[in-house]
Amino acid sequence: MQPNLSQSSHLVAIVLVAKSLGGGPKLVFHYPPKPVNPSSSLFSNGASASPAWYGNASSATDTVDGDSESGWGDGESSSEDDAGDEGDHGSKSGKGSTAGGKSSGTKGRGIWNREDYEDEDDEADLTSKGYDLSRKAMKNNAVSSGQNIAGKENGEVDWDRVLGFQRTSLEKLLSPHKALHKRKFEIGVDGCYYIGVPMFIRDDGLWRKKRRRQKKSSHRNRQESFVSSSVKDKTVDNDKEELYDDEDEGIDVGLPYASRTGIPEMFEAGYGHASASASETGSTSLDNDMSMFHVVFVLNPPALEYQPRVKEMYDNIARKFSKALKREQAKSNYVWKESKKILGIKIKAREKQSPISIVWPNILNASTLAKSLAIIYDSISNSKIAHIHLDAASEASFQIPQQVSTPYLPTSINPQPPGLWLTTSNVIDDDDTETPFTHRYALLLLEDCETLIREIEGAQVASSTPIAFYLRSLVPTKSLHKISVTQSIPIQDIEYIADHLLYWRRARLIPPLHHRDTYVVSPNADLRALSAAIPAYAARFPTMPSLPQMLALMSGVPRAYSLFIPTPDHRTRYMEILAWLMRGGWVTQLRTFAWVKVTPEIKAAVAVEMAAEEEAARNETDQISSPQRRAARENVRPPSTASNTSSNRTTLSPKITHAAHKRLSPLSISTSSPPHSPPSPITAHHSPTSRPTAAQVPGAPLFTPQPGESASDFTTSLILNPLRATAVEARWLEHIRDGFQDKEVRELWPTLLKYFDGRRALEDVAVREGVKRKRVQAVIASVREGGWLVHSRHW
Amino acid sequence: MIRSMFYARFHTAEGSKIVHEVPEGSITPSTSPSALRQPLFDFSTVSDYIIPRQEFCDHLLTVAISDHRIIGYPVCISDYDGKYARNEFIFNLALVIDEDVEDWTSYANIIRKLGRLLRALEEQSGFLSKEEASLAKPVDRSATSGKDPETSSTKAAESAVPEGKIYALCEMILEDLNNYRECMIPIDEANTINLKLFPLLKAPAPVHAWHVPLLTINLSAFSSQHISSDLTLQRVLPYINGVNSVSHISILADTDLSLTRKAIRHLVYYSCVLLLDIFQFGAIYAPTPDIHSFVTSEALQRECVRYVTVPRSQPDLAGAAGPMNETSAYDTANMAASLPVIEPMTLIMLYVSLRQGVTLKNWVLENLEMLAGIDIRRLITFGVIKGFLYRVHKYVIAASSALPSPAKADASLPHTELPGGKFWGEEGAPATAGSATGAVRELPLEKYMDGIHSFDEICTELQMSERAVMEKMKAFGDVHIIHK
Repeated sequence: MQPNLSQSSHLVAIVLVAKSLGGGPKLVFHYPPKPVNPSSSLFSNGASASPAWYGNASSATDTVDGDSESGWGDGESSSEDDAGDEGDHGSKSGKGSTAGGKSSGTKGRGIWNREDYEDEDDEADLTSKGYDLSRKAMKNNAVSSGQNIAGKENGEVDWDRVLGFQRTSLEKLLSPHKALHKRKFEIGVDGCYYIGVPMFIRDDGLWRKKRRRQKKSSHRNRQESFVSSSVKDKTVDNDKEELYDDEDEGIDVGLPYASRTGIPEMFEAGYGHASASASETGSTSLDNDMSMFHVVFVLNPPALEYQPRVKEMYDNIARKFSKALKREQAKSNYVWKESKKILGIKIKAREKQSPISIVWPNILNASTLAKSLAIIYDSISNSKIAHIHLDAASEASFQIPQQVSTPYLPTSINPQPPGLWLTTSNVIDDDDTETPFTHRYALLLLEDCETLIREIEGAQVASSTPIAFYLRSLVPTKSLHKISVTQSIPIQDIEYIADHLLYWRRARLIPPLHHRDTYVVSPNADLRALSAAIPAYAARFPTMPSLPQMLALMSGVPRAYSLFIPTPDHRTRYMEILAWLMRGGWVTQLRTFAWVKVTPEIKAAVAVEMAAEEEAARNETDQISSPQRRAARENVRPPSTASNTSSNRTTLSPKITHAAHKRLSPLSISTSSPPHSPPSPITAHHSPTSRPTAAQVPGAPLFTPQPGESASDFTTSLILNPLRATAVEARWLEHIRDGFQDKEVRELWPTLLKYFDGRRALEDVAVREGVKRKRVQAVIASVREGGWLVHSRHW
Repeated sequence: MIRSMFYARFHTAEGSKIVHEVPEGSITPSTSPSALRQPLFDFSTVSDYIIPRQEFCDHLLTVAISDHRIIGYPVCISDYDGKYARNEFIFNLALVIDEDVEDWTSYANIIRKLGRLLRALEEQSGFLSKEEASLAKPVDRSATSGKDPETSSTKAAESAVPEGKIYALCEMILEDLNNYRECMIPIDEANTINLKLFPLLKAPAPVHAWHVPLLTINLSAFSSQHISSDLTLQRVLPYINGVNSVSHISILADTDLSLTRKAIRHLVYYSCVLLLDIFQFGAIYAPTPDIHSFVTSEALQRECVRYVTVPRSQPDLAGAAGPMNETSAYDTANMAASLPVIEPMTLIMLYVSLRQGVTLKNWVLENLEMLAGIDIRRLITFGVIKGFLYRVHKYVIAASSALPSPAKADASLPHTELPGGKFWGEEGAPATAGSATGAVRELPLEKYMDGIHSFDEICTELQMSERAVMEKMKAFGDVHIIHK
């Protein structure tokens, strides 16, 4: 079943954790500065927030029960004890509403604490034991009595709690065992999931195989000494809280380095700290090299979308970004340099007790790594492409690929967000691969050509001229192949550009637009966007019929687009309108799909023929019949037995109640009998003949080839897949072909035949086969007039 | 399917350790002949997430590792009476499933419940800690986190028969949930563990006043009390027949519209009901790409023949229900003998001839001959249910650029002004329109003319026929009709 994914990626935050050799893990940076606390959307079934396209909020009945509806969703969600969930919800709203100011933000977190540690608080007060607890209790007390200063005196700053947890706890949580090096890290705490790819330094102290190590570390250490001295206070302070420090050290990656060779000075430091007590980490921990870094993406997807969401985030963003960072780290110690920069700023800010709203912009300005994380967060959570500059020299881009089109129509039971291009044109991958199928498609630019060119020229002036030329030549009315021929541009170049534009979501592959093809208003068009689209359209095509007018024109009985064009002079302009409409998903091409219809007359004639042949073959004494004939004979018989069984099956009356329990939707149909997979040889074999007989009154004479049979003994049927026609079907097809008077038709018939399978659009014939469109249309029209085709039109 | 169930706790001397595991060898290597040959994953790698820092206790903690997903709910009980060494008792009863299990939140709910329950049991009676103490020879097959290499090397030698309540608990939960998806385990006189894996269902689609619900299962077999104690639902159920719209049902059953919608949404949630559109001869239907599956599937065609054939052996014609509960009673052989036979080919021809821009009425006139013996409403409904037909809805856009802002429009039409009434398409036009004329003038029709509201919606809400609405709208001048 196709998951009904909304567009948002459910990204909550991005966290960077790094670990120095021998030192503990540090939460270097997180973005956004105050992530909205994780709601346990996983357990509220995602029902609480209905998207706008679910229904018309403006309708009277909706406003009545808008509120209670979301409440209902929660109650339904099968989780036995909601106490914890509700607590989470409460704290979420508490923080979400007050996240602005600092003091109120702290209060919000207080609520969060209260919910989570209700039991412990009192006891902690009594005994003032328990490292974490006492602190929390103090803060809670402070908040409840309205004295924020108490918290401050502890040296606490408002980034010490991230995502509802102590920063120190979180950094431990997010620094995994070395066994997870370069592997997927995926843990979940309540409704929040932490996805990442931890990167560890190699055992030989390098980040990459066979790369000469830069010997600049000592120099750099001196430069950074101011950082390390100020770190001391902080780490000592933090270490008190680290309840499990002694246990955790056991799996510290620092240990293995004790035995490695080659970098004596590191050896010393690493060994010392791994074995020493935690309180000693202070003075030199930042001077050491980094042993691990880990970019963690925090998600809270709805439960039903969990797997695809996590997968797409991991495959497209987490893995690729971590790899890119590792490359930079290997090249120039980039991650560690940036991390130290960020930590330095944080330490200074801690001394000054600066609020997060001042510190974070500073960090973003100072560090390209922080900036990159911010860009990735902003872009990915808005489903955009993140383009980042890590070093001066290197840039990269990341995105979660978006769905371009769908063949499925939303139903009342399975709503889906509107606006997506509705088509089946890019579902079928072709069997014949002489030319890559992209060549037969046209490229529809999703932005205006000149805007695109300006964009590119702004970036790279040097190569702009040929690219501008290429871009201007990319018209949606011509296939890429045709463009390459007419403009004499090498097809490889066009393909390269096309790939690029497709990746950057600047273009889309479509069947070439043609004025003789039919286009209708897409049932999936997002009419909510109409009010914004009308002025945009009017600005683009001022003298043309308005957008509502065009849509009204194209929503009647399907007709060729050319019929809307008043004069041939208007054609170019109207084609531009069409491209514009296609771009916005307002219209979609109505394509024609056909099957060959076999009439009883044909069947009777073939049956007579075959019976005669059989007779003749039997009369031949040497009994040598050609393989085709034998095959033909064998194939005539089985259908009759098949029809017996199938008519028996009918009398058994298959229980439809079974089907009822399944979700009845277009999707369930396609899963039970996938429309895009060819029918199996068995069904192709049985169906053409068995179906009509099965539908006949039981007891009526079954199909047996007897001489003198009349057409009334047969029923009309379809040939579902002419390419895999059975012997009888092939005879029928041959017979039909022989019946054509027109030489033209007879010539094209074999070419056309493979398009009569109900899955390939007849509109594609001309482009794919390189036959003139007019000729194809004339032939198909005459075949259709002869009544040989059953055709259906859909997208 | 649950691969493993284990109970881990933080041991003051040995660190994180596995106390019980089912089956043996699933978490820690075991030499026992019945044990798994290889652990499902390396425990030391993830021990920090099984027994985490205190702050993460009492949260649901999941870890994905080695193609498995560990779902745990670590619990930390603090007690300063010296009941526990280090004044803390940290444990985790966790289970392991395959990583790619889609619907794993149902397991998560169980683990969360178990965690909280065990916490309560431990706090009340020391359920967990006492058992460990009472076992004369503590079960020491445990592994520890990589911290204590000495103990982990010795533990393999012992292969004591696992015993104790917790072990039994793990074993029973694993077996029962895997086999029956639910379990009931008595703990002591006062406590019982009841668990059930609830499938996670999608949030139901919204039900609107102009939807037509159609039952997919035969609810008449159940007495209404057994279905639900929801009073609205009990009143509404008899009127759900695949013909009445929600708004019409609420009138027939004399229930509040919003409550009716909610009740039907419950049915949608459990897939007991499908939502169709209001059937009228002025409506337009067209095929979707799934028409291919109808053309190729004989089973579907046979089902369709049974569903659309008229006259039918049951007395009430317009009545009840969908293809499912009704036709299964049919004896197809009898039917075939007494009724005109509908060729599947005819159905195919009929379906593919439906197209955008042609109202059902015109289509019927075009195909009158082929439609002999066919219930047109059922023919259309069948296509919509199976998804190879879709209703082409009609929208209006006023050409004037000054569209009213949606916020304003919302407030302007209070629901109370529109007592529910039935909407039957064009037939009922003159009467309704005549009586409503006075009121309509005040009704802000513009709010419907932004291309978002389909005609079904407008007519249902205004209690007017399509023609009457159309006339009113034409008064606005430049109005465009869009079908999609």
